[in-house]
Amino acid sequence: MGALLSTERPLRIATGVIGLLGVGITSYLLIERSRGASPVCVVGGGCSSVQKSEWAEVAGVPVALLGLIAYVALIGAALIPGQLGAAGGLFTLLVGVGFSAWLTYLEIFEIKAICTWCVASALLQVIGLGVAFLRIRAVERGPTASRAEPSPQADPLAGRE
Amino acid sequence: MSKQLIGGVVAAAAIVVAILVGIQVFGGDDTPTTASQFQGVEEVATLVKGIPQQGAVLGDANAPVTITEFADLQCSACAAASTGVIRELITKYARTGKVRMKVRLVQIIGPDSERGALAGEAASLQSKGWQFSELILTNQGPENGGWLTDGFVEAAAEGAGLDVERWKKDFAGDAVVNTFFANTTAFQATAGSNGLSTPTFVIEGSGEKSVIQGVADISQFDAAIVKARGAN
Repeated sequence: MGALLSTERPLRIATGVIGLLGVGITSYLLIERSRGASPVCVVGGGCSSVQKSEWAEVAGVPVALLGLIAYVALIGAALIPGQLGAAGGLFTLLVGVGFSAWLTYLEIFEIKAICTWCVASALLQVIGLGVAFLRIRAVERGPTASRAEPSPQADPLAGRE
Repeated sequence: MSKQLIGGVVAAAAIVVAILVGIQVFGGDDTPTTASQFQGVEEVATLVKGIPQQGAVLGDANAPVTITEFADLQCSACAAASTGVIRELITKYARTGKVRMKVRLVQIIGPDSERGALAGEAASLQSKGWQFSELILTNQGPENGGWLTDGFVEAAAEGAGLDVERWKKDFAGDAVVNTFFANTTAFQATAGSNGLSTPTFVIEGSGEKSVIQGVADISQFDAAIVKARGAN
């Protein structure tokens, strides 16, 4: 466990998995939204209220699309090793968590409806943010960690996704 | 990674979040602008389907009792009544021909209310005022929240099944303004000792007239309708 949380590779994989899950959620929400009049929300009941509210867009861009872009960026950050990927992932998740916190506030106090999928995405990003901080720490310890691995691969994520 | 770099990343992220939130809060006109973004379109259509509607009056023109509702499309109590007791009244009394219900739109909350009222009276000119008002009230935003825009009322007009081109002409015309002024005068005349508030319902027939203000229970209307019908 200590090795899992202190070397970069498993944390990059975790970041990639979170990105993929997020792409799934946001794509689903975008498809629901594009159906327009009769959106189906599998869990809970507030999704259509939330998706049809004035807060579901930023300057005409659906929030779900912003989420999708962020998760794709997160997958990108997972694929880039080292400091650049770690910093990129941290940035993406900080923005994601910050904006999700705002959206969750809106759901509770303004729209007064909870969209389960949006909450799931928010939680996913909080977990991702934790992973991102661990990854930053792991990158700092980089040299030690790579020496601990007997056969470092050129691209540890190749063929895994 | 240096602390400065992490600090920079955190600061940059905070700025991006602030921009996104700022666009949402101050961006303005992102309210529904197409009928498909409205909720309850089919529900409202089903609610009044098959009930005669003439102008702003829903129900049999010869019904012995008339309920007139003075409403502001921005008022949250009107929305509560609209999605509650009004639907019961329509089903129980208007559909059965016992009561005719008239909606008269007024302005009490703020400037946008006038736009809503004119738009609603233009819908009544196509005898679809009830669909329009119910649809707006079902999708109502906060009072004076800036949601009751031209785009919003146009989308509602579409959702209410209006001839949108004709509605636009009526909305911009003088007839709806005259109706709106007449509504205001009548509303002021009915204001009880509690002063002006919406919704205000006037229940009248050949018997005793009643005024109900605010969100009331169906039983209060039942009693008022009995009184309005008269002793015979």
